[in-house]
Amino acid sequence: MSVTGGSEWLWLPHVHWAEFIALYLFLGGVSGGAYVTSSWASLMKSLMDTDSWLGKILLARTDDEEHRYACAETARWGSVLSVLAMAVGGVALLSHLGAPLRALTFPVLFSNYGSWLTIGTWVIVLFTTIAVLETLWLHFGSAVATESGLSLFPRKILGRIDSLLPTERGFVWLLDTIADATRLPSRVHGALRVLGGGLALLLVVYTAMLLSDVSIVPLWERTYLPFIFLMSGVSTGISAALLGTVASGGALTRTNHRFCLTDDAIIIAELVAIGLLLSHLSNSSNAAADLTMSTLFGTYSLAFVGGVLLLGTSLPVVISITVTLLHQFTEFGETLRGKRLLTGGYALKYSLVLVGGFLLRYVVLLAAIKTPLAVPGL
Amino acid sequence: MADRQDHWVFYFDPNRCIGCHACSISCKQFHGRDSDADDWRTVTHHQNANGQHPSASEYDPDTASPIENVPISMSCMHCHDAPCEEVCPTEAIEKRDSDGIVTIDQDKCIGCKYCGWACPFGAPTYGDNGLMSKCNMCLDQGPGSGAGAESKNEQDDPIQPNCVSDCVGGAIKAGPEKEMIKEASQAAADRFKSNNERVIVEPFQGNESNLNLVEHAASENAGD
Repeated sequence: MSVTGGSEWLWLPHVHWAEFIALYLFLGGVSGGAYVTSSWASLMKSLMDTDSWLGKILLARTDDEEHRYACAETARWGSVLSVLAMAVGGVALLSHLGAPLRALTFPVLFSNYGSWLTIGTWVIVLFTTIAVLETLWLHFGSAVATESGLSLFPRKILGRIDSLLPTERGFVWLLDTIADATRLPSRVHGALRVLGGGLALLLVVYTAMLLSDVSIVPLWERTYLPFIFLMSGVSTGISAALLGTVASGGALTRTNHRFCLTDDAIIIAELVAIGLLLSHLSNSSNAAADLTMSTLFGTYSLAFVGGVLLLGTSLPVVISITVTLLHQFTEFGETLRGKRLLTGGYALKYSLVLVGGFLLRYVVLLAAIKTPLAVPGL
Repeated sequence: MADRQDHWVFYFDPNRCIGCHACSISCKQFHGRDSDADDWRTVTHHQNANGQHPSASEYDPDTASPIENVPISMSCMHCHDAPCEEVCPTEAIEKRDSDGIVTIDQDKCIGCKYCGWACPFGAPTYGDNGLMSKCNMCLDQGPGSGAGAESKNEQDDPIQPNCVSDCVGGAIKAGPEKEMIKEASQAAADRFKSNNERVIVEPFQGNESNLNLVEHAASENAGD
């Protein structure tokens, strides 16, 4: 029943992984991307702190306090959001399973290492471990106690809980102590960050490999989908972390400016890859590819064309370029109103990228159509 | 390890199928499944792109597809390459070396539905417990049964799947590949081999022979 060349098709019922899995794939991308953003911001900050020659080449100047603050905030936002996204995504994934508690025994149960579900589970575990340690070191410890910033909200929340406790030493003291006791020498820490960055990118790519391993769904084409998800994951990660930095008052810093432009370049690469995927589908002789195109531009046109192509990718680039031009080449940002508008523009851009990132996964799942069976003899 | 020639496969002849659904009903009955549970063996007619059958009022014999009247009986085809087994993280799905039957061990299944996507036939179903169940060629009764059951090739008189034994037109057959190939027409056998297919299917001959078969099924000689 899988004869090719038949003119009549037997369409199989759609087996949707619905919103929860879309949310999981999206948050997996955000988590990995936010960690990469955090690591890069940490590197920038450490280059400024050491006033090294590399820092002078990469950053032009190492005495910009606003840049230093924004780097620290971005690093903290990125790390804490990577952990939060993974936590929420994990719950979304588990809630979809038929036997979620059984899945928690994965070290014993997941024995097929050729399955991307098994590979991905171990990537998640290793990545989350590093991301949690990074978050601990960036938010707790004696060195952080004197710092300020909205990104330190976990510390503030725990501090308030501590104030309600009858004991003198609470959660903040405990985590500060653990952070100081476990903090690694800078070179080892740097190596761990590189490892974490590699795992973060693998986490993002895995969310696409999981899908593209199913070869009978043309939309999940292996040549394009992993790259699209990688670009989208890094882009949404940058957006999540920098949205935090904007909320911390770092919208008009060089840190935000550079990350925003990087994000724009990544979004454009993502759009090109989406275009190539659409071109591949439209040129395919597979009946499911043909129907997928009709579905993307028919049933899911609002989510795909409106949400992904326009609202979630193209518009953010337009907003970003507009805000950047106003910020860098005019005196628009000199007034309080101008500053507020520019800050709002950056926040809007990052928010739209996040919405687009979710809708991309949603559409990729719900518009997925299996290759139909060719009815023999016709 | 048994040779692939000894692995059990299904054979289906759409020219002998009258769409009576006896196969899917006998499957459900043997395995004690609720009437509203998803079928392990389905009998479908030609569907449109939205997965819907043309309604009676919409059906126009002059313009309709020639296969809208052709029932297609499908289940797990126990594929030689078993894509469901490849993606299953827990190895709950097993393509048995001994007889080629693909079984599911529900004690290992986490209900991720990955196999549902990987299957080219839409065979996996997910019950109220969220765990996968599907055809096991009647190795045993009930969802999740059959894993660890005795190989059909080691049984003295292998029990035929109920869909096979209850098919009134003899449209469905099951057995080792080398035996099923002998049952098939040259065209079906050639296509099966040359395309490395997962199931042996006879080419559809047309509506007329199908109608003859309906008449035959209703006659005294039904089942011959």
